[in-house]
Amino acid sequence: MEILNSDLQKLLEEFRFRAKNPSVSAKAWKTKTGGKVVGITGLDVPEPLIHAAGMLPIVLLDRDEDVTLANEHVEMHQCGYIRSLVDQALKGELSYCDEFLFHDCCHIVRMLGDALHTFTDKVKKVQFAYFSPLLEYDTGRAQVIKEMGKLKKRLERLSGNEITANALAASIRLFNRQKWLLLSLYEIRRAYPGILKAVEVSHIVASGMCMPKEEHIQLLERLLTLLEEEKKKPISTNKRIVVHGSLCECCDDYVLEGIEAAGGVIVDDDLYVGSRYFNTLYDEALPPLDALLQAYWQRVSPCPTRFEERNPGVYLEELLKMANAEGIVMVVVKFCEAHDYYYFTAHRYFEAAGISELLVETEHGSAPEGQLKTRLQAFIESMEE
Amino acid sequence: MGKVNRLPCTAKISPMMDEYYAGMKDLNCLCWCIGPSAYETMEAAGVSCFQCESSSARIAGGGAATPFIEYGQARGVSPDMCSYAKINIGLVLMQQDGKWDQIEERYHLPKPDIIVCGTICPSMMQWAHLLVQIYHVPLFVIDIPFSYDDSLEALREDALYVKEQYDNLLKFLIQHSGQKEYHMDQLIEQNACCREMDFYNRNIAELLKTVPAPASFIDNAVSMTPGISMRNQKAADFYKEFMEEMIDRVKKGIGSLENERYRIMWRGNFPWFKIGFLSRLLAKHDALLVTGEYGVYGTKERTANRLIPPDGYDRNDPLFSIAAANVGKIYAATYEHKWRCEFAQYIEEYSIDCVIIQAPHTCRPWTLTTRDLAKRVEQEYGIPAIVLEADHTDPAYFNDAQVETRIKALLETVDARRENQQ
Repeated sequence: MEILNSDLQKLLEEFRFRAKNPSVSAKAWKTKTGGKVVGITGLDVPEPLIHAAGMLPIVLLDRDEDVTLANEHVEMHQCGYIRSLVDQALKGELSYCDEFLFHDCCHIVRMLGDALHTFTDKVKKVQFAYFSPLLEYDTGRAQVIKEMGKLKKRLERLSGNEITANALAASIRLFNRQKWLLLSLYEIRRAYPGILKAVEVSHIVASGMCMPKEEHIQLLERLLTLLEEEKKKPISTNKRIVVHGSLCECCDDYVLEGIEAAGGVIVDDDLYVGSRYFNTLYDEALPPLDALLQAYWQRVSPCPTRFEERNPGVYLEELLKMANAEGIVMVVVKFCEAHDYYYFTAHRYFEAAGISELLVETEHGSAPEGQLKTRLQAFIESMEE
Repeated sequence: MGKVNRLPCTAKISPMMDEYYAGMKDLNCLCWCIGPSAYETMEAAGVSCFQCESSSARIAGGGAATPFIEYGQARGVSPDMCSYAKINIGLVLMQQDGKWDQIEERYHLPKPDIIVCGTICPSMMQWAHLLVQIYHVPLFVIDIPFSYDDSLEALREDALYVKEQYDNLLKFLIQHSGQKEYHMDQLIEQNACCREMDFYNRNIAELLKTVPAPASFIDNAVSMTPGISMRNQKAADFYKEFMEEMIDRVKKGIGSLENERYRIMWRGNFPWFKIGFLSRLLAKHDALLVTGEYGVYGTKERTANRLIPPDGYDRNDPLFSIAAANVGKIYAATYEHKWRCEFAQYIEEYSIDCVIIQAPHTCRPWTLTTRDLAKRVEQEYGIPAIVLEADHTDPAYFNDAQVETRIKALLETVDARRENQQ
């Protein structure tokens, strides 16, 4: 294995630390600005709107720790993300958030707001945004326009700041800058397979979801500079794999590491903590609020909680082609029901199109590494035949 | 040992629904419906409605669910998907693969010409989308928003949003049925049937307050389908008969059980494949389910009634009536609304001794917060409550012995508290 230079190692450690400790970044930002921190769920909360109101959006991620306190309240057949979030709330780990804004992205998250408030007084009442899931219907679009307008007013009330068009445009430019840098990183990843480990990439994206964008951009710029040197090293010739899934949480490290250990190299992904977070850019030519709406309707990755005509298999096939990948690993989080249907539809498409695919089901608190290793090895070997 | 004394009219349900489903084979335009899909709008467009969840419940009730579930799972369907969908998709795949000899004729699914989905959770949209990939037929999705704001103003806005979608639904139905125009008069007439049906159901709900109860809430549950799928005069006539049989029993002092000792509130959907088992098990202990929110139409505090007083129906605006009813469904409401409308009002008015909450393994919207709701029942009313982790239509998640033990323990707790009170 090639040894990374020490500057790069230090920087990757910084990304890892920031990803694992959102409260550290949030508290430092609060001390510096006196602003409010808003904990959010789902990728459809329009983060630039929160930023333009002078607040800090932090995407609440699951934590790689055993769920304990939440077991008293939440059934084992709820997804790990919900169980982890309730657990964090009960343990007071979300106390750095001044407000919560959740997007009504699935039937469980919509109940979660109430649940958190019922289970503990350690979190403030959760605010919800309800955006119609009907992305291609005029009635649905009209509802989202109305809701976005209402949300803007709610955020103005919460922050005490007016969200001007100029401020929103500036926030959009900032968020686009982060997206561009991450897109550049993924381009490098496709061109120089193995230049970074998949877990490192996961930390890089995760940190950007839960720290101030301004700081993350600085780290990304430094990263891209340091990677110039790494490009000179030999690239991996392992089987090129795309990973899809883990739609509300970080893809488990043992899955990403398992793919690489089995003889694969991850050249692209369609993960929540991955390209799904940044692959839809805001159109800066549009009035800023319209840019947020367009990004909601014309997302790059189809989402199982939204309704649109296209088959997810078609999108994933295009991604595979773009990444020149030979197979796809579909990571479905246990009890993510919307994803179960989405997976089945994509699976049928892959079968018909002759695309190599492996389903990996993950469950919070469980890491069957041995079993997965065997399956991954067999999958990679099958691509060599 | 108590004996189940079902209302005689409930024996008509199975043949009535068999006839209903059998009549679908030769129709011009058949619409598969998932979720709350404004079923009563269909007939006036020349479209027949096939309700997918009801069909799966019927199959499960007939003890025939497992082979379809297993067939789907062997083809990649997740065991954690809604079991209504698992039965439906498994059956669809079996038919696609020509396995007709393995399917009882009464369960054969007629091929859809169109699909309509009223979505109250993403699973329904995805289920419908999946069916479209198989059948390649047009789909119309209706978004029923979740009500975070309980104010009348917000609810009216939601209802108007849904009504606007129903306007488009009528155009979609006409476009695909081949009928020249939509028969609004027929819809108004059908809406009147629904109003009549709700009137009977409100009375039925009132009659269940009688001690001893003249019917079991299980009688209500097994009689839901005409109210969901048919929504016509025939359905209204059935509920009238149901109500009259109850009135007759009340007059004669006849209870559903000879010796009613425990009155139970049921929360959540039912394990349809174990309805008989549950009914007999409870009767054995002189216990009776007397009420609950699931399957009861036209009960008070409904959003529709608040938006359109006094009973939720506007004869001149049937689409708004349907929309108002849909945004008022309990699964589109907050925890406090659930507590108030699904628990408190029933416990207070039906002389409830204990509560059973079903947390179905494959219907998660029903489950989150159930443990805390059970605790709240105990804290606020001093009566015991249990959470049964079972399922609505997948027998894999039901254990007879375990359920019996838990229900027995629940009833013993009621006894112990009664003794303490003496």
